[in-house]
Amino acid sequence: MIEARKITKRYIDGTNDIIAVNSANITVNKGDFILIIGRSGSGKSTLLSMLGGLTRPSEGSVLLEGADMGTLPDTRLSQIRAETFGFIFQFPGLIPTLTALDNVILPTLFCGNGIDSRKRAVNLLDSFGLADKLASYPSNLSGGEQKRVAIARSLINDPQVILADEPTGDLDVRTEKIIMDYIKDINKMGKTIIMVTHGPEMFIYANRVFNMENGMLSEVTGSYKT
Amino acid sequence: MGFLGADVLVLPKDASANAEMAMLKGNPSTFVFKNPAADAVILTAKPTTLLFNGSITNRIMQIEGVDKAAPQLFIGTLAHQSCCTGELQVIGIDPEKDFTIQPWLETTLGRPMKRGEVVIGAGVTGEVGSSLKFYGKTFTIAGKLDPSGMGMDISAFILLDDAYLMAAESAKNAVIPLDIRNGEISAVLIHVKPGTDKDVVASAVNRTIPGTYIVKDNYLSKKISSQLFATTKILYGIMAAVTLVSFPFMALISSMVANERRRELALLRAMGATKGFIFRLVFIEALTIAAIGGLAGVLMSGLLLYLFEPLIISTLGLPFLWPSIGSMVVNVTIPVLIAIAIGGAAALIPAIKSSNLEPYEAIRRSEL
Repeated sequence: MIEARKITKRYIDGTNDIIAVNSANITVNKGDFILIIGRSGSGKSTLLSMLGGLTRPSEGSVLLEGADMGTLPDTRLSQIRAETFGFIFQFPGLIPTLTALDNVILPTLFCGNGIDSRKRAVNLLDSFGLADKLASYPSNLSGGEQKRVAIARSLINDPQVILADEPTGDLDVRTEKIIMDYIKDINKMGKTIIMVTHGPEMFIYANRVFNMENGMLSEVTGSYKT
Repeated sequence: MGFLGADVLVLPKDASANAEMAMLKGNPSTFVFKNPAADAVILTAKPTTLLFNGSITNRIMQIEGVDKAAPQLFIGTLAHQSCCTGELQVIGIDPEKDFTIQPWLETTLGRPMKRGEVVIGAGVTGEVGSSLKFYGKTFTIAGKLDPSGMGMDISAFILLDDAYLMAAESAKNAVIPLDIRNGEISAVLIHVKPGTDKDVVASAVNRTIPGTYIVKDNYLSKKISSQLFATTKILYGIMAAVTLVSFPFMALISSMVANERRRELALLRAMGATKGFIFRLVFIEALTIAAIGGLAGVLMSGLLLYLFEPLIISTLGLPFLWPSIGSMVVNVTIPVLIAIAIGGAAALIPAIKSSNLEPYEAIRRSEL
């Protein structure tokens, strides 16, 4: 459903031309749980942003169901982000002046899929064990709870693909497992997951693993599952 | 701007230095009135007693072009004395010749003023039917005039005959007696015939009755304008300076706010917000803040004006009248619109920058 063809992303840092992603190829199939591992600064987050239509590649193309996202106007690309992708970041990224429920409802502003946003948000928060936190503000939630609200938010528009950028990066081991179990459950529901992370501990959740090193992407084959 | 509808106002010149006036008045000791004090009476009703001889009314009536001539007697009441309710400008009028408050009496009161009655200005405390005491004589309030913004707002009008009686009895009733005799007056208000040149009449009065100080109807507006000119010039200067300073200041604030919210805006972009949505969000937010700020500023100014109204009047020596509802709406709307315009212009660049930010880059940088 997503196909990246020789995508490159260049940045100009002062007088230096930095290549964050160098001619990467990847094909993502529906229902995949893809793990992209690599050190900090290897370019994995940049790759994720290009796959999610947040950043346009300098070269190459990202096709979504055959359509080149790099050539789409901003309004269409924004619509695709709203309807097709759900983002989970390392930080929860909740709006501090909104309650947990309103934070989850927020993305429905940009998506006209006609869902009963409030009912769906309540159900989502309930399924993540936050039924009693609907009216809580982010400052009154723990790190794990905030992360679960963020995951619920990424699912509110019923997207086909969840893009997760180190979603457990700042969590303790126990909370990390809870969050990963939730993400795995989402995958089991038929959602495609593309997740970037530092280390190989998440191998057990993925069906495909890619390694990113100095902007070069390569698929890890063989017995990576320990 | 005339005084009580008069085209020309005739006042005694500095009588202490004017022999002719002394002959007319017959009692030079009462000519303590200085011309600037007359201005003060008209503009701010600083209570003063002004006198000259009433026979000049008839002489003025004989001048060509004079339609009506109304004599008035100005008496300043005493402050903090048991014989007077308070410090006020009492004005004695001749009901047969008066054209100043007489029309109001006919239309509003529906009858002539009676002996022992007083009509008060809008700024004088007292209700119709209650009493006021001047120099030991009690008067019943028959009516209250509409606000004028002039000295008459804090004046009290009585019949000339009552004024003379009050003066006569003040020797036994008042702490400080009045030295006014029957027939003495302080001013003559002239209404000229239609089509008559007021300047010609004023010159004729000056020629015919030496020792008079002539005030034409546009004199007061000119005087107020000249006094306001400097004040308004300073105020306009301050407004221009504040406006100029506010623009870069608001641009800086808008830029800081937009920068502070980079991650939030980037998250909205990730959720599907278009560039246009982000632009409108930042821009409309700036307009709203500017409108609220402008409105709060205008309301605060209005409150300060209301609270310090007496101080403004006494400091500037000018009359003060609140504008009509229509003018107030305009006076509130224009500054708020200016504030919105400045806020909008100042937020334009931050709004464009926010809408064009690279979402993922903004999110990643905010994580650091």
